[in-house]
Formats: sequence, C-alpha cells, structure tokens
Amino acid sequence: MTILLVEDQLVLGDAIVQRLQRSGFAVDWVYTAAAARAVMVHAATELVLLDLGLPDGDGNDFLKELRAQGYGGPIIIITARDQVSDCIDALNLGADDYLTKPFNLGVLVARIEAVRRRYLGRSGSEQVIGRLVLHHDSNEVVTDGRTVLLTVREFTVLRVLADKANTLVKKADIESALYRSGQEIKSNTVEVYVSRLRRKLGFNTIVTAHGIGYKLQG
Amino acid sequence: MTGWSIARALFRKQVVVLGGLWLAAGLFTIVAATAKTNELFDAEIESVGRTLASLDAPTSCRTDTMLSCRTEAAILSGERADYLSYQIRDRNGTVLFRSLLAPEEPFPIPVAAGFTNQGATRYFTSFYPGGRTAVQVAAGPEERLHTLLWMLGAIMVPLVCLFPMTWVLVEWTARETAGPVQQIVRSLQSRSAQQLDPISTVNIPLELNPILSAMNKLLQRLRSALDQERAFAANCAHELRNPLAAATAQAELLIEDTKHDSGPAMLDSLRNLTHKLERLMQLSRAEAGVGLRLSRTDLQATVKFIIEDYYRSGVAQDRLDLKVHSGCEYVSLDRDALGIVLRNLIDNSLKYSPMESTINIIMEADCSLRVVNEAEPLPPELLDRILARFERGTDFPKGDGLGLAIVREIVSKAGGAVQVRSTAKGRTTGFEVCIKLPKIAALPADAVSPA
Repeated sequence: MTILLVEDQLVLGDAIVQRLQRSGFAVDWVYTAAAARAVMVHAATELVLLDLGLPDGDGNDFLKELRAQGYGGPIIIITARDQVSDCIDALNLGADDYLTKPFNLGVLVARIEAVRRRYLGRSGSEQVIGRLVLHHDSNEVVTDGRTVLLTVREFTVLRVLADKANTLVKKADIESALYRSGQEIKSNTVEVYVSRLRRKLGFNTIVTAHGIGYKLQG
Repeated sequence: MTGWSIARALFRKQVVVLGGLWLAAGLFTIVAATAKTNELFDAEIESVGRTLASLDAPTSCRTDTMLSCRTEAAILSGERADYLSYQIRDRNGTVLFRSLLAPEEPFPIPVAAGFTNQGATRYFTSFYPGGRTAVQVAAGPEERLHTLLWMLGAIMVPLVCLFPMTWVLVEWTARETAGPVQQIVRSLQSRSAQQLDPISTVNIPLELNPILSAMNKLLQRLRSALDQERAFAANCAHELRNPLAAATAQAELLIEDTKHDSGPAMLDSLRNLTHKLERLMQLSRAEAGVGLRLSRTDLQATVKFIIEDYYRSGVAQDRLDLKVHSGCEYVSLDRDALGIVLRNLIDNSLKYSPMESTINIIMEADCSLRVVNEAEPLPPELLDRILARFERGTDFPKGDGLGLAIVREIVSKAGGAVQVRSTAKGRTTGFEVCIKLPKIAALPADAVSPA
C-alpha cells in the first residue's frame, strides 16, 4: 500500500516514515501541499496522511481540494489541533479519520489499517482470499490451518497482490511498493520475494504472467 | 432587585410638580374669584344705595309702605329682594323708613358714608342731598357665599374629576419615557452569558447612546480577547504538541530497536508530560473564557461524536454507554468547551472506576448531562471540595486534581452548574457528575455552529 505523508515536522515525519515502512507500507513523504499536489499527479497514492498546519497553507484547504478533484482514497488527518470543532470540520471536509498529536505510532498504523479495511469492505484486520487468511496486524498468513509468519517485505508483496486478488498486478507496481517501503530494489528483487512466498504458501498460490506481472489466486 | 426606578422617580416628580402647580392655580383662582365676587356684590349694593338716595327723602311716616313697595319694586326686583334690605335713617340713627325684610331696629352700624362690615353683613351708606338723612343698604353673606361657591365649584369640580385621568396619564408618560431604558434592560437580561454581539442603538435616546457605545466597545474588546485566546491556544498546541509528538514517536522507534529496559518509563514520562500540558492548556482556556464564547451546539451530536472518538482511539473499549432522553436539542455552550468538559468527565471516570465497568452518559430532557461511574464512594468531606483545583479522588497518584476544576470553570462561566454525587443517584455505589447546561436562547443566525 502506498501512503502519501504530508508533514513538515522533520523529526516526527522521519519517525512516521520508518514505522510505516516497518509495517510494510510504501511511503512518499513531502513537506508541503504544493509537493503533495505534484506527487498525487505522478504516483498512485492509496492513502493520504495529512498534517493541517503546513508551511504553504492550511491542510483543510488541501483536503477540500483533493476531494473536489475527485480523489476517492482514504485521508487521515494528523494534527496538533485538538479541539472538537477542528476534528468535526476536517471530517466534514472529507477526512476519514483524525489523529491528534502526539499519538502512538502503533495507533497510527492501526487507524490506517482500519480505514483501509473500511475501504476494502472488510470488517476486521483479517483478509480472506481463497484458502489464505491474511492478518494485517501481525504479518501472519493462515493457510490450510497452518500459521505462516512473513517478513515485512514478503508481506508487502503479498499485500499488493492481495489488494487486487485474482487480477494481474504489474511487476513495476510491486517494485514501487517495495521501493517506497525503503527496500533496496535489484532487478530480481520481486522474483526473489514471489519465490519465497510460493515456498511458504504453496507454489500454486501466485501465478506468473511472463514479462507482465503476477496474480494471487483466490 | 434594590435601587431606585427612573420611571417611578419621574412619576413622583411629575406628580409633585403638577400637583403643586395645580394647587397654586386653585388657590389663585379662589382668591381672584373671591375678590371679583366681592367687587361685583359691592358694586351692586352701592348701585342700589345710590339709586335709593337719588329718590325723594321721606318726610312724615316711619314706614311708607307704598314708597317701600315702589322702591323695592323698582330697585329690589327679582333675587335682590332675597338678600338686600335697607333702612333710611336720620343723622341720629333713627330709622325713618325700611324695606319689608329690614329689621325694625336700626342697623348696628353708624350713619357714615361708604362701606362698613358688621359681622358677616356688608353695609353701604349713602346720604340724601342735603346730608340729613341717609340710606343704608345691607347685604347678607348667604348669596355672596353661594355665588362664590358656585363659581369655585364650576372651576374646581372638573379639575378634581380630571385628576385621576391626569394621574394615569402622568404614570403612562413616565413609563413611556423610561421605555428605552427598560428596552435595554430587557435586552441585557435576555442575553446569555456568551452573547457578545453589540447592543442595538436603534431608537435609543441620545442620553443613553454614550453608555451603550461604551458597553459595545467593551463587548468588542471581550470578543477580540476571546479570539486572541483561541489563536493563542492553537499556537500553543502547535508549538508544544509537535515537538512532543516527534519525541514520543522517535522514542517509540528507539525502544522498538533497542528493547531498552528504561524505554517504557521514558514513554510513560512523555505521555504524562503530554497529559499535564493538555490539562494546563485546558485550564488556561477555561479561565480565558472558552465557556463564554457565543455558540449554539447540538448536544446529542457532539456527545455522540466524542464517544465515537473514544471508540476510534480504542481507549474506552465498550465501556461508554450513552442514554438520551429526548427534549433537549441545542445548548448555549461552545462545542470545543463541551468537548473539554465531557472528555474530562470521561477521562476521570475511566481513571477512577474499575476496569471493564460501564460508564453511563445520560442526556436528560432538561439539557443536563450526567456522567455516572462505578467508582468507590467518596467520603462526604472530600465530595464537598472535589470541584476545587488540585483536589483529587481517593486514588491520589492517578489524577492531577484539575479535571473537575476545569469542568466547573467552563460550565459556570457559560451560565450552567455542576453537581457531584457519591454515591450516584439511585445506586449504592459510584460517583456521578451532573452538569446543567444553559438552554439555548434566541441567537443571531451567524452565531449558529451546529456540530
């Protein structure tokens, strides 16, 4: 999952990026609304983490602009403004959730997962695809009654494939998710992780479309 | 309410001044009417006397019936005969002739020309030519008094009859004149504590304009101070929460990486610092008058939002139970202020009641909000001072003693009231805080801020 973080506080932004990457999310981090606009044009952003006090304007204005331009993905506000009216205003403008600073990074990840589940139409942290049950909060997969613990990178690849289960996912999209998760990408990185996933979950779990990409079989 | 009323004072002064003038006019009328009546009656007596003196003087008999009859027929005609009588006397005072109604005895006055009073009777003496005999005309007081009273009655009766009407009119005038003052008083009385928009100066007398202008300037300064306070609170939040958030987040990562033993303690300290900072900022906002801000808040929607926020954050799990008695829609309390109040009450309940016990939040029809928990009952002496600053519940290390003080500060500034009970109403245990929120008054449309 690719997250756009719009946060001008460097120390805080750095911690958020590290924590999200450790949880398997790909993160684009920008400091201003203008930079966020540029990223939104070029990258496939799946969730926006938006601070309200930005150097080049109010985050609420950018939130309104995103919704007006048709961005339909989840937006979570992270802000120092702690009043009920601030929160209600942001939610009324189209935010999906609101987190007041300082917050626990674990809570942030849980909120991201909750919003993501809501968007994917799932009710819990579990995602069922065929015989696979993905546990997003623990990076575990249950298959045929057997619990398999995946590494962050493996789970990142599986998450990208699971979000579009039974559909062909381009290799470049998986590379992009891994890259923005802070992983070092080599020419065969995707193949390595797909191979590991097949070994852990079963060889027929992931189908290869040569020269195009991969598909998770539900 | 003590003090004096402008309308009553105006009424009293008008009554005194008008009554005084009225009395003076009445007295003057009495004096003038009496003088004029006397003058007219004197002229009449004189006229009769002189006319009689111009006739032939009697020479033989003491009473000349024919002459008397003729004279009276000529002079004392009509009503005159009822109150005028005369005697014709020589210089020695002997009565030579008299009118029919005149006494046989001589009038008790000397024979001297001109007017003389004897008792209540008025006499006029006029000498015949030659000066040996004189005619004395007497007029009793009855007719004069009757005429005088009739005149005074004709003047005074209508005036006396008009007096109650004048009283009512004066009172009405006083009330109408003091009307603009009453209008301002009503306007001020109907205002809620948060209503800080300028007082209207339409149809206000010039004399009251400077007072209203000064009050409006004061209200404007108060609004401006509240706006500045809001901006200051927002700036403080930004300046203090961001570095704390950064420190907390980096500490979390550090602990995750190093698994250092003192990590959790460091995080607890940071969270404690955050909590204290939050409380101090809330206290600062409460004292600066966040409860005074003009607002119209949907109570139910705001309470539901705050409870959902607790569930989203995962702090309260399933412990919060909301019960709504219909009847109250809007309260005159800023929703941020309501947020601070309710969060403090819920935080307190979460802190002091047993884990997994239910916290009941009850919205009553009269716009009061009750937060009831299952905490151990408080001793009465602590309950009496629990709303004071730095007073804490029985479990001292948990609280900072500011939560309920903040709640009381905000609610009382907004015109509401806070009550605490332990045990809770209808229970044998527990602690209950009931806040009576000010019901909504009619506010300008631009002041509406639905949640």
